[in-house]
Amino acid sequence: MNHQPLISALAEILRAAPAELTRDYKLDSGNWDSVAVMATIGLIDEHYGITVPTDRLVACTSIAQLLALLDEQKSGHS
Amino acid sequence: MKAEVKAIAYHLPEQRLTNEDLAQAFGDWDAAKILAKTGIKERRVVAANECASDLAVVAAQKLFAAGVCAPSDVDFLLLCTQSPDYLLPATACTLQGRLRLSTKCGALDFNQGCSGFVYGLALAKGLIETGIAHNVLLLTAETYSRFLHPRDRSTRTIFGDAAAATLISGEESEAELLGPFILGTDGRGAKELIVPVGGARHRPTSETSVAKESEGGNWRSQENLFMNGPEIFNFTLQAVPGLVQQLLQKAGRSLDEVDRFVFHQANRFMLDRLRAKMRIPPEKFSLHLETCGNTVSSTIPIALHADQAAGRIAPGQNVMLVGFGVGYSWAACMMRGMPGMTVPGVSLPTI
Repeated sequence: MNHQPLISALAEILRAAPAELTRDYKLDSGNWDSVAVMATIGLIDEHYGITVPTDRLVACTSIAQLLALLDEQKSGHS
Repeated sequence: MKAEVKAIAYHLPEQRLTNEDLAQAFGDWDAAKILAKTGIKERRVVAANECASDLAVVAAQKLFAAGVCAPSDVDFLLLCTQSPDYLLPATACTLQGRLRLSTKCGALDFNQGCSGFVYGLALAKGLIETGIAHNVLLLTAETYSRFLHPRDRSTRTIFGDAAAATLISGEESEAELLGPFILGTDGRGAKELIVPVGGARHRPTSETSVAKESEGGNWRSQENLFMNGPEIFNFTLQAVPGLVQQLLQKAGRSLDEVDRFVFHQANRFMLDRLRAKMRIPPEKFSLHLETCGNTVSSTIPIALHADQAAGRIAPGQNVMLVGFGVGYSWAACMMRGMPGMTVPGVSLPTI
């Protein structure tokens, strides 16, 4: 699944350059607060038309985990 | 006999809480960022000795001063608040006396938040169209600022205090003037927006008043308001589009046939996403929280008032109202654009 449009939008939320957002990019208390999570919920809804469990989204500690969660949820919705 | 919304007035407390004030309190956010995230520049908050009922009294007095109706004409008072004066008696009963309404006037409180205005309209319609009452005064009044911890950025940036007074009266009409309605509830969401301690379930103790640091560096005690913003956003994205579709179906209308959409003014970010998701044209969609914040049950009447005062709603137009939030609770209805504000000689007060 091509997540690039989401990643590009996510970069703005995380105040990072898109090139920085590799799979290893860390989500932590410095960038992954409730405002960032809410903005990401909006992006996921906009790009994929799905909602994901908030507790699992909050628990993501890297872009890789976030994308894995999206793939899992997206396949569950399709 | 059909129920019709006749007029709205509202009142905000004097004290302003600006983004600059909040930026000073929370060093890592500047005023521009708060505005960008919330769509709010300032909120009003009550003074230490000011209650929701005090705001409601002023809002109702503005309505009476405009000549819309006399206090003696009101035969039912509905007060929507989660900030009552006392555990008992009902604050509505005290307001009957303070507003010098007739002793033949029914009065009751109901505890709802963001859906409360539409619930109040549903109750008023029931009272009027069954002949129980003719002039219902619906007061929505909230002082969430009393529940917020000073160091909880997640809530202090959002909520403001306010009250609104709305007159709903019976009118001889074949056409529907208020309705249909869709109401709903999901109590599984109760814990997502809650003041856990203070009611009968959990009484205050010395421990419950102790604030602790929580997610994102926000502080609160169990006697403060807790809001799980991301979870509520998820709920909203799931519930509201379906709610709007159900209402359109019940009303026999298409989205294009609605002239104005007035949603609960939760925050700018949430409203933008909902509007885009439902493909509602921006010019038909109310946004009115920049100068008052999220005032809970008063957001819809305040936005309606602003829309009518600015000529964005004409008499007879089809207006959709949508409330959603704490409970979880949701409600939506159609109403005809009010005649009141455009009748010569009737100048409804603004703040």
